[in-house]
Amino acid sequence: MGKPDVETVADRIARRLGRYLGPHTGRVAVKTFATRALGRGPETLTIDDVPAMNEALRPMLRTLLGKQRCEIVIQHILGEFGL
Amino acid sequence: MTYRSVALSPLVFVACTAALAALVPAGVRDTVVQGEVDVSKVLACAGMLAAALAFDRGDYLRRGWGVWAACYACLLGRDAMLLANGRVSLVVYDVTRGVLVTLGNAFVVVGAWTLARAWTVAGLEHPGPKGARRAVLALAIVVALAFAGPTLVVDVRDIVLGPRADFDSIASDLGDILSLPLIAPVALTALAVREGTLRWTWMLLTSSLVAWLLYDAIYTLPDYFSVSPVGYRLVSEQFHILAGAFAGVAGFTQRMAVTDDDDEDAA
Repeated sequence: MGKPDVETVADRIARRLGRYLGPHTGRVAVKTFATRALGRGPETLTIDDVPAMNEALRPMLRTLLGKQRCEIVIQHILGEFGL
Repeated sequence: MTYRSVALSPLVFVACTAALAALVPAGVRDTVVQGEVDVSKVLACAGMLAAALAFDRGDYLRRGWGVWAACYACLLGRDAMLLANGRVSLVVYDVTRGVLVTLGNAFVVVGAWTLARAWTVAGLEHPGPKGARRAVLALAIVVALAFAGPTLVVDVRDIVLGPRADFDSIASDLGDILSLPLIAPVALTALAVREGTLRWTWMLLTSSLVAWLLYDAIYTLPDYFSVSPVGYRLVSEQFHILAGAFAGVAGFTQRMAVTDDDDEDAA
């Protein structure tokens, strides 16, 4: 089985988090916060959900990386989707 | 400087301090080892302070790193009091050392607790089934009690029976008993981030706590077995030095992870 040709929205957010948390934990974090904040699984995320996901991820990022790095990661996620 | 080279530096440092301690004349060995321990405490204090200052006011980890840095500052102050021994009254000497050691150990418990809880505060769960995580914590508690517990019993007995109360030893024992079980959540955090850049910080912090545990373990050996005090003290102090060096480098890697001005798109 190869990698899927197109990354999903969840994959792209997880990749940004994975830099700090590792790929597996990045995916776990996206799943955790998608379920908690949006009440849906990560496979359902669309670009429209990205701002809400960022808000859900912000407390985690701020705790582990601090305010400044958190904002940089948030900006990178928004940039990833051209937002 | 890469994370890997920074992470390996405590091992190189301790290889040097062990070699120096082994090579110097026996008459000055204690003084040299004490100096090495204090250098490692300066390193720990500097690294943890650097980590704290990498965060903004109000950030959760700023408090954890800052309080732990304050612990090392107090322990350095306690060691500095050795220079005043004989120049100040015994009461002032004892009280000052006691206050610094008690504060230092209170700080290490609060600092370790704060960092150990970071993953939970972030809203994440440690990896593995809940039962396995509880087993790891229980094991850490048992090991900490096995190694730090006997020393506490001996120190309490000495206070009850002895002519001079040594309260700073009690504070150290309690600090160890309360902080060493926190190896479990810190190690689980290291496991959770094992493929990310934060792994270096959490692995090094875990290594620091394990080195502290081994320091206590070696110190406790004579309570269980008949061991020559000279040899085991020389070895145990190297673990003391390693604990400080790992703590310092953990702080520096945390600062690197938070402040490195790199191009994330290139990473």
